[in-house]
Amino acid sequence: MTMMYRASFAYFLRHPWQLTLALVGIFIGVAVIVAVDIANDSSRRAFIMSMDAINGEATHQIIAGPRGVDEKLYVQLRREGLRNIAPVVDGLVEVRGSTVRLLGLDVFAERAFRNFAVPGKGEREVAATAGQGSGYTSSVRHLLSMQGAVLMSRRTASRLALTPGADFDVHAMGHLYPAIVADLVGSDSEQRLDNLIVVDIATAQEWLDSNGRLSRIDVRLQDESSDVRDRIESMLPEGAQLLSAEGRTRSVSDMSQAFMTNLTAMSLLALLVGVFLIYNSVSFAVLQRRHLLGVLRALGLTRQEIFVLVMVEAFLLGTVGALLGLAGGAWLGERLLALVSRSINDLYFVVHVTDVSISVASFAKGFLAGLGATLLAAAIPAAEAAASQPILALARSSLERRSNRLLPVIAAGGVAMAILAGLLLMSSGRSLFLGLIGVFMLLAGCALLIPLLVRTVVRLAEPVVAALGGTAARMAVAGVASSLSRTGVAVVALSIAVSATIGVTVMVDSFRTAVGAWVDQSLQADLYVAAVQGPLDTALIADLVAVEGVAAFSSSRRVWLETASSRIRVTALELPEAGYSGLHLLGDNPQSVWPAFNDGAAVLVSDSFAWRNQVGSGETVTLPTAKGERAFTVAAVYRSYDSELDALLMSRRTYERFWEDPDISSLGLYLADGADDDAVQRKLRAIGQGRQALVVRSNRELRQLSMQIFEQTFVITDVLYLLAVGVALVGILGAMLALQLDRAREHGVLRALGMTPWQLGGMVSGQAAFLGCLSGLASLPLGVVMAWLLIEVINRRAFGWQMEMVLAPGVLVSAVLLASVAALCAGLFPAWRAARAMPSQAIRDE
Amino acid sequence: MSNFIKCSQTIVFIILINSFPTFSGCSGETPPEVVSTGSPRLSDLLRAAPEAAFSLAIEARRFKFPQDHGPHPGFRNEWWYFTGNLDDPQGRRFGYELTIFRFAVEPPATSAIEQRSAWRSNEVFIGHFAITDVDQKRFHVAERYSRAALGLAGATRAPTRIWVEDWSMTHQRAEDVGGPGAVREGWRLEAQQDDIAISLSLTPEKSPVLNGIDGLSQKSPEVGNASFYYSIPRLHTEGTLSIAGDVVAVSGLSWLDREWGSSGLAADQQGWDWFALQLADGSDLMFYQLRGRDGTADRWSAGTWIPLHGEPMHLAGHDVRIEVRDVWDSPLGGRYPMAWTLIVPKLDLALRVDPALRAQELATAVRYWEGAVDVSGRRNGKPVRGRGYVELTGYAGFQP
Repeated sequence: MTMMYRASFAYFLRHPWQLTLALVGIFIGVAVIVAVDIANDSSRRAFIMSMDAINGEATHQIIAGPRGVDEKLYVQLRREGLRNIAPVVDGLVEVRGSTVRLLGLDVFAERAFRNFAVPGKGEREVAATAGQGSGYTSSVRHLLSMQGAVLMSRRTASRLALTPGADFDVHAMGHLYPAIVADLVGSDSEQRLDNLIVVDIATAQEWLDSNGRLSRIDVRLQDESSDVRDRIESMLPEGAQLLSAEGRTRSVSDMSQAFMTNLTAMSLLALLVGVFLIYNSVSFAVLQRRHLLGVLRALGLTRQEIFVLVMVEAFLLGTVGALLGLAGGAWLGERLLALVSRSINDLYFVVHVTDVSISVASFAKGFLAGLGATLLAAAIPAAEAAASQPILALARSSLERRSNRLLPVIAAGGVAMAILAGLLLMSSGRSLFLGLIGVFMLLAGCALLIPLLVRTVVRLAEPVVAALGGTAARMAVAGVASSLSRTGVAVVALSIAVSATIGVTVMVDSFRTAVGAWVDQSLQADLYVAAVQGPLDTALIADLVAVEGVAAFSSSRRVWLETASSRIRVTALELPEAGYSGLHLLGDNPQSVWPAFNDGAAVLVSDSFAWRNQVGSGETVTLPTAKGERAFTVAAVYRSYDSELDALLMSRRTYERFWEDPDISSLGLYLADGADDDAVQRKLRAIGQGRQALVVRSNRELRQLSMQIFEQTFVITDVLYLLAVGVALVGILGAMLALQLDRAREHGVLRALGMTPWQLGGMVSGQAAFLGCLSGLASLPLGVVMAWLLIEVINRRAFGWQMEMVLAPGVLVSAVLLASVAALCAGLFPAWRAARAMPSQAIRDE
Repeated sequence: MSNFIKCSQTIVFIILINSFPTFSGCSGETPPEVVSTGSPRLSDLLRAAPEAAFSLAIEARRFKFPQDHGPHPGFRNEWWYFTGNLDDPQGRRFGYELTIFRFAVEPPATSAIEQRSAWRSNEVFIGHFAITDVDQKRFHVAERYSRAALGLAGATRAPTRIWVEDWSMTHQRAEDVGGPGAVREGWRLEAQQDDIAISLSLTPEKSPVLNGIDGLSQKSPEVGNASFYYSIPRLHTEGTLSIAGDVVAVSGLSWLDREWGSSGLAADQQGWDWFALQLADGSDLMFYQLRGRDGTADRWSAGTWIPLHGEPMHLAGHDVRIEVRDVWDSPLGGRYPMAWTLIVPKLDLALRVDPALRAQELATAVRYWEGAVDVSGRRNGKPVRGRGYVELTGYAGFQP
């Protein structure tokens, strides 16, 4: 027994690169899974933590429509004797170029809610330190008495390069306000206070231009079914609601769920490719020792012992590789995090992720996946090694014969799996998760067809190649088929990786085309004007639209409406007729919806809204208005690739009628023929000068900006599939090395027969290129199917977006080229080794 | 007097006031460009001393009632301090305290802020509410804070009303409409929190009494370290009181202390012991003994003797001798004197003062003891009994 293990140990010592290859395979697979998990987890946690810091101990929140809650409601509740309630005014402002959350609180109402409003542990401590001139008493005093006194955490201060007492400016709602750091709060390590600045509620109202209104009233209820809850609800005016804080946090974080699921799918893809690689490495390590194992069998080791030996080896390899993978994953996770959080910030909500949270669960998941895949990958060669007769084991040809016999069986299995996948995809309805499983099964099924495909192609190609390139070329090609147990797996791995690149590229291309067309169509006006933050000053609007050269204008107001279970973004539009074509309405007679939209209080919903909420035109949606809940008829569904999935449109008239909100977020200006674009822009900016900071953009600029955000979102996808290709390349390298080792003797004979090292090297690298080319070809149909699935199943189920597939031939050609060139590169090292080998040594055994 | 000093301390320690910050920053940084206004930097504003802008109690003033029951916004501190001893028809005994403090964070606003938020306020109101259930030996306390904004808290002069959320003190002027419609002058007190509540009507049995010299109560030699201080020593009280849903009709006697000023405690003063005693013969005694940091009585201690008929008499510190007969250790830390003998030789008065309950400490932000007491003793050789309230500060509160 010990002899056996020592033999296997010595083998790996003598072949360190083989050991390395096996470990690298497991390492990369595990690292990618862990990294994506960490990146997702960290951004989700950062979000929850910052929500916790903002919500504090609040169990519930009173919210009302877009303009918030009337502050008189708070006063009324207080004067009715309700104690555990606190007013909050919050919003986003800009400090030194960073967007930060401004939280306006009333320190006196805060004691039951957020402990950072009262630094230190409690009043006692405060009392003890106040006498010594600590900043507390003065900072609270300043918070109260002075517009511009700000509290922030030490970390936020240092990020903004501010110190206590430092003056700075706050940009809010397009205005500039002087501010001062009154004091630092919280402990040094508190991530939850990152990117948050706290001011008195009066300052917040003044800065955010919301005098008279509160963003919400925080409520702390001792238990869900308390009388207090009923009392509060009975006092709420129409349009205000009491919602659970937890539910609100959840519905915001749910928005990014689909995005994160897709990332997870990407990491599974990396694992899938990683599993191939692991299989490749492990089976290679086993097959390479056919001779040794045969000898061991001949020496009397039982089959079981051989099997156990191989599995123990795999277990050790898997453990070490997976552990390395965990470390690598933690490192990679941090890198990915920046990309993930940027995408989330662009698309969903502003969250500032500074801490990487590494959970035991992520590690466990990655470790088990890595080890499991390794054991699975080793089980087949182990069984094979164990099953072989001692004598036969010494002959490689028998193995190939058997695997050749197996090819049709494997292929049939692949077909069966693909059919199952198809059934699953068709029957799984709207489930994103089942959709992903279906896609993976289909991919795996197709992969199983590849070896048979390779053999067929080789048989067909052999005579052609022989005619064109002579014996060496024929031998190279035939070699691929005659060692399918080795090459098959490599081809499969590379095919999968390349098809994934094709799938993702085609999907992104199609998406880009669709988004580009959508943006073009949406941007009907020539110029767009908005305040830097918040609504436009009412007084400014009349002046803006009166600028010479402006022929017509549209206005829009964007707000979020909340119900107990969802957040809906409503855009109230006032459109000139020229603007109607800016909406791509789905359905038969799109133009007939305008009267109902303009006058009949009907709304338009985005296609993702329609998909997610399963409503269509003619049906109704219920929205919380200023006068309580009310049902609105859906006039039509419009196409949208908005990241805000639950989005709907209504006319300005409808909005004002039901929400009583006169604010306008942005204007679209239609210029008269011949008007000078730049001159108008200059005039618009001049109007804002000293009144409100305006953003004026041409539709061209906006288009560029939209596409830029789009590209940013997909950076992470690029990174992930590059990793998958990397994994596959390592696989090719491994397979080529294995082939070269297998054939060392054969190559020695060829050299002895007079082949030059160059010829031999050329033959080996040609073989690699051929393998790559085969993989590339095999990946084409697979890639196209995958693109189709990504577009029709995954994107649709995750986001509700619909788009046409755009298939550029260049993508397909470059995929085949990529596979061939990559394989050629991977073949260079084995070719160099083969060429360098001394023929006398290689054939010494003969 | 109650709380001149306590108040300052409470506020200094809990919230605001007092010494200005020495900011560590502000140096070495290039100030960012300010585009919007020509206003001075905030850090400069912070360094300006605000005390000068508050009115100070320097010389005697002419008091006018009921106007002076209302707020005096030019001063930094002010309070309305009701305490009283009550009984229910079965003889169950209670004590109560309802106090509202007004504190100006800044002098009345002058700064020009465009679009002022309604929350912006220079004043903070603090309420303390306590009920002593003597028979059950239970002491209940509630405390609340609010800014004077949006009607959450505030004080008005005509009619006089002081409130913090749903706690309120409302003054009712006498209305002599003739016949049965006539209304006597009085106060309404309403307060409730958690499981305690009071709803009381108070009718003064004596006119307001000016303490100190014509209402100017000097607290230390420093000019301006003084307050305006008057009391209504005797208010007949009727109403209801409830503890844990148990509503009882009560009646008894209350005491109102009113004080306003802009100064705090002198550096060498530690706290004080304040006595407001209502004797059964119709006379009342108020005396506060300021204590130095070394524990000795300060020479600025003072009081007022209010006979049933006739003019009140000012008592200087040396007119009253106080002997402590017992002490009480608070479970939260600190040792309080807990039984006294007050001797006023020039009135031929000797009174023993004992707490109705020892545990009457308010565990508010700054701890102090304020409780119902029993009085017995001799005046002019005749036995006399009474009740009252005692306040003890500076014995605990800012040590953990």
